[in-house]
Amino acid sequence: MTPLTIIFALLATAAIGSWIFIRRNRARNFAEQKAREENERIAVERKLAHEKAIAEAKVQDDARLQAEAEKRSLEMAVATENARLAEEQRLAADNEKRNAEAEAKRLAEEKALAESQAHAAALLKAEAEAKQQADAEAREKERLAVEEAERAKKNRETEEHTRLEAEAREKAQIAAEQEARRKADNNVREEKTADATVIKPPLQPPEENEKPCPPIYRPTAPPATTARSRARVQTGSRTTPTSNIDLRLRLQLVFGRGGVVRSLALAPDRRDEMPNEIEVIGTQGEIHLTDLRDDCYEPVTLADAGNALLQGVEWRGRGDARHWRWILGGRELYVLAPGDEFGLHGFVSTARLWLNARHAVLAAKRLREAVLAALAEAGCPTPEVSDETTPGVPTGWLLFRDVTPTRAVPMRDDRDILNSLRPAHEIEPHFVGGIRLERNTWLAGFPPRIRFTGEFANGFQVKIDDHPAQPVNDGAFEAPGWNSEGEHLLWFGDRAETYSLCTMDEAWENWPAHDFGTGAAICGANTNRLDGARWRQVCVPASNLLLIGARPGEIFRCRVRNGVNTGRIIAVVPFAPVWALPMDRLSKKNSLIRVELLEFIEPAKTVEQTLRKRNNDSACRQWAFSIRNARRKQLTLAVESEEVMSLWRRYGGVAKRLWRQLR
Amino acid sequence: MLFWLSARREGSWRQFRAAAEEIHSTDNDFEANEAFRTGDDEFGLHQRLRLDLECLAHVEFFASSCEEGWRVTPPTLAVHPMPIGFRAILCGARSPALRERVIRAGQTLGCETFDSLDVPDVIRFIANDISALSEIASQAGIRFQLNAPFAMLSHIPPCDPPTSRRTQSEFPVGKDWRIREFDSVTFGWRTANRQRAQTADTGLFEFQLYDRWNYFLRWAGRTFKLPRAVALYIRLSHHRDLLRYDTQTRTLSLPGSCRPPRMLERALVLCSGFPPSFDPATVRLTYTDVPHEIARFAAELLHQPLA
Repeated sequence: MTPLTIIFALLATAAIGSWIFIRRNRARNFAEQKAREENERIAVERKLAHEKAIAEAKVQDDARLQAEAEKRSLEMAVATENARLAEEQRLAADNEKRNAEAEAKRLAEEKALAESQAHAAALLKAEAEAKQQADAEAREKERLAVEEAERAKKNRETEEHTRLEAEAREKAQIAAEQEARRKADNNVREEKTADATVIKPPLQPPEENEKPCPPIYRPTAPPATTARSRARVQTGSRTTPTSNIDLRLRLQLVFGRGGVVRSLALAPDRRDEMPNEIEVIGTQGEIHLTDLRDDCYEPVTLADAGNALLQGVEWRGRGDARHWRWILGGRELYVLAPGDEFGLHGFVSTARLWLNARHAVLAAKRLREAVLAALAEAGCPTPEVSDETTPGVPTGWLLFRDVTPTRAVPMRDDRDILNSLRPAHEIEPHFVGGIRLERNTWLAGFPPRIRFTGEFANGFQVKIDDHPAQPVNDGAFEAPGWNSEGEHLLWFGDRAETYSLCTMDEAWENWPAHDFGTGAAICGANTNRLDGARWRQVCVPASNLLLIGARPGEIFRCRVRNGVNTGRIIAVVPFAPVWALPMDRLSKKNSLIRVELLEFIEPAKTVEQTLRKRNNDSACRQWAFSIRNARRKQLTLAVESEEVMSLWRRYGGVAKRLWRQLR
Repeated sequence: MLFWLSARREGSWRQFRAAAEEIHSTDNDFEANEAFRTGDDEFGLHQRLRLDLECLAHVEFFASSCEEGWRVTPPTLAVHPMPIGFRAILCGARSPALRERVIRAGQTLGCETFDSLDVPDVIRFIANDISALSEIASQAGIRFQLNAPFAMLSHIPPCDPPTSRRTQSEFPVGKDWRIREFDSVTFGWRTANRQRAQTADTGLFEFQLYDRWNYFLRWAGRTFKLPRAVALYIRLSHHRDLLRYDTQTRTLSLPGSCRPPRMLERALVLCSGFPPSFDPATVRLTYTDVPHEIARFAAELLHQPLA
């Protein structure tokens, strides 16, 4: 065997050995890997089985819980339903009880109302009886007076007859004597005696009440609680409390566009002791009255006006201790005066026409000619007449517009309805318009017009503060200084009244009227911080919410409200902001992100001063960091002028120095 | 009326009603004009005056410190930017002397005075420089409010639906209440009953008794008492074609029955100084001179798209 063969054999043996070794290792590794995979598979299967078991258990648990919940909700529903039924039963019982109480109350009220009506009827009856009795007495007196007069006349006639007879007898006797003397005396003396015996008629005494006094017209409504003059509106409403009070319903007529009647309403009187709101029962059913002023409730629109005006309206209300009754006496004629005299707009019913004032008149159709004649007698130019074809005019009625009487007319028969169209001659002052602040006080610059109604005699004089007043174009009286600030005395005829004009104090205050929880409140056109600090308000882009001031530490982050997407926002800042920087991720690539200059202010000169003054290092750090960061990102400026860029560089320099000092 | 309010400073609702009645008693055409303007005959004279005075920022009604009545606001020059320059509107209390002072101080600028039957005189100034307007306020001794409409909108809460945490409300008890439901299609009110109100999943209901109006929003089966306008805009959330904006005329219009919340309307009115005009033909309210930015902001607060 050659060495070469031996070497070859050894190599072959080694190769075979290594091959066998490698193969064994590979088989072992394969077996191990397979075992591992098998273990993993088993583990995964176990895990899955475990999870599945958990899930199933959870499902079972959920189902159990759900069943329990359903059971509970069912029980609760049953309980709720039972409770509801019980509550309903209780409520029903309560309702029945309340209804029974209400019914009893209603019956009691009806009874009380019936009693009060009976009482009122009895009163009316008693009044009527009294009136009848008075009338009978008056008639009896009149009859007696007539009889007395006749007796007196007879007596006078008898006496006269007797006297005449006596005189005749005396005359005859004298004539006989004279005849006897004549026969004895001469003819001349006989003629003189005859001249001295001429009979003179007896003097008649002047008859009393030869010309009857004009009767006083009494409107069917109760007496007014307020005087006509605006200056006396308040005083007139003060009345002595009584247990039963009759009040007035005034008719209010408001014209609309195009001359139509916009509304016909009833304005109920109010007195001091009456509540602000009150329920009344009347021919129109139940009505709720709300107060308008101390002397008046808000006007209520009149339903079925045609009949209501003719037949009258009566409302009854009831307070704690008193009964109130409002009455509008039914009639065929209503005179309506300018409402500003009563503090109401439109025209408001009044007792009779006022001289030299513009009125409206509502009259039943049948009175047309009589009304026109009466108005002509009162010196009214021919009025415009509208009938029910004009919207708002009640059926069966006529509306006379622009009725301005210029002549006083004496009243006639006491019961003549047309007396309301006969203006009185009495002179009354009227303070019309202006801005009234108090009862007799008006705002300087807005005085009332001073007018008079009535018949002005030739010597009628008006003085204001001792200066003679003269009527101007609109009929109002003016005198030198009549509209100056202060108190004025108006004198007319034998009467005097005062009025005042005053200026207003301008100390109006700001207050947080509307606070929506944003730290600021709105009052009028103002928006102010709630703490009263006078912060600055700036409008900044919604993207630039970081505001930088001129001094280090002046930094403010604006808040944006959720759900509101706006281009710009208003921020209220405790310092003067110079720069508005973006708060989002800064990047030069985003061309929309820019630094905005709000106000051109140089940065604080020395950082040291700022640091000494400020204790808040953190704010200074943020101030410096924000500027340095924006500069480092090379953000563009919204306005790229040289001046602005230079300012931005100076801020960068200050921020850099400050950053080094604070580091 | 504004002089009377300014002289009295504050008072009750009853005093306001009586004053409105008395001061306008000399003008018989006022009511007719008002009814024509608003197209709403049921609305009382004093209510219309209240709305106008309130949206013009002259007087606050039923706000804090005047819960039962009114209080006049301090005189303010409300400024807002225009396409060119700035415009200022005189708001708040006013005396004859103050009015003269303001007009005299702004003589050099473009002063516009509009006499109107319906509202107090509208006094406006236009300037290129805001400092000129600030100077007027300073000379007249009144307040100065920059970006008034925008500032107001920035502090008004949006008309968000009530959250689940919000306390529910109860409907008022009693048979006398008149109940109506808002129809989101016709923007009108139709008669409803208590059962409908209690069972509706979503809806807006009005309960009225005499001069008391209560508004209840049914939202997800729950009941919430809210201001009318807020409840209405929650109900009409994201309604198409409710708000219309004309970029040419800078006008914003919306249905007459859908007046926005009080403060939001004030912001819109302060853009021009005039209350909205009502067009009976389209039955819509139109606010003039409203910048697009303001209109967009208002639409966002109302949760409405701007058509």
